[in-house]
Amino acid sequence: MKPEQRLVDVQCSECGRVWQVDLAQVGRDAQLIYRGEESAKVRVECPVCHKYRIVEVPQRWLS
Amino acid sequence: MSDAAGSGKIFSATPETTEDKALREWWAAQALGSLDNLETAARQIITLCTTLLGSLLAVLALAEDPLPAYLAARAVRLAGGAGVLLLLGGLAAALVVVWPRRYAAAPDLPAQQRQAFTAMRQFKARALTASLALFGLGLAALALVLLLALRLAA
Repeated sequence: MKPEQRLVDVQCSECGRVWQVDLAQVGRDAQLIYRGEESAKVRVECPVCHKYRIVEVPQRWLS
Repeated sequence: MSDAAGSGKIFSATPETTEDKALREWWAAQALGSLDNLETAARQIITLCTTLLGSLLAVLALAEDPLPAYLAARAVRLAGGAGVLLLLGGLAAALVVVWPRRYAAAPDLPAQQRQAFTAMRQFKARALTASLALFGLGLAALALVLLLALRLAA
């Protein structure tokens, strides 16, 4: 997968802000909290309200 | 979910569960407290190394005149010498953990502070690992000296 394809749009359930999360940053800016066979849960921080949110993405998108 | 990332789909980010939040905070506290834990462990090793060195030197009884008969055995002398060196090495490595060093990080650059913190933690962890290994080997050497001394004294 090319690096530019790792960007996913995420919407904060608190403030409604949509921002892009780089899945290549998992382990650095974003934390992987669950990796299943199909999906993975990643903890991200909303850039506006600064609250931690959980986003579920397909597991194969993570390196 | 669409097949490729960056396809325009917006993923909804949900709040953390109470358990996730508690775990994250616990891990963050552990990470920040790790330096203190490493230094506490190093101080414990310093105490143990010092005590065991005293015990080893007492067994070797180098100040006694005449020297104990078991010191004539080459194995006792070798194991004793190795034990002293290993315990001194463990002591030195543990002192490296608690010895203050200079780390520079700008107060307004969290990334640089994180980098300095990680470097500090890795350095202390490596020194403590070396100290633990040397201490363990020194302990084994002391045990060997004690066993040999008991056997030869009997």
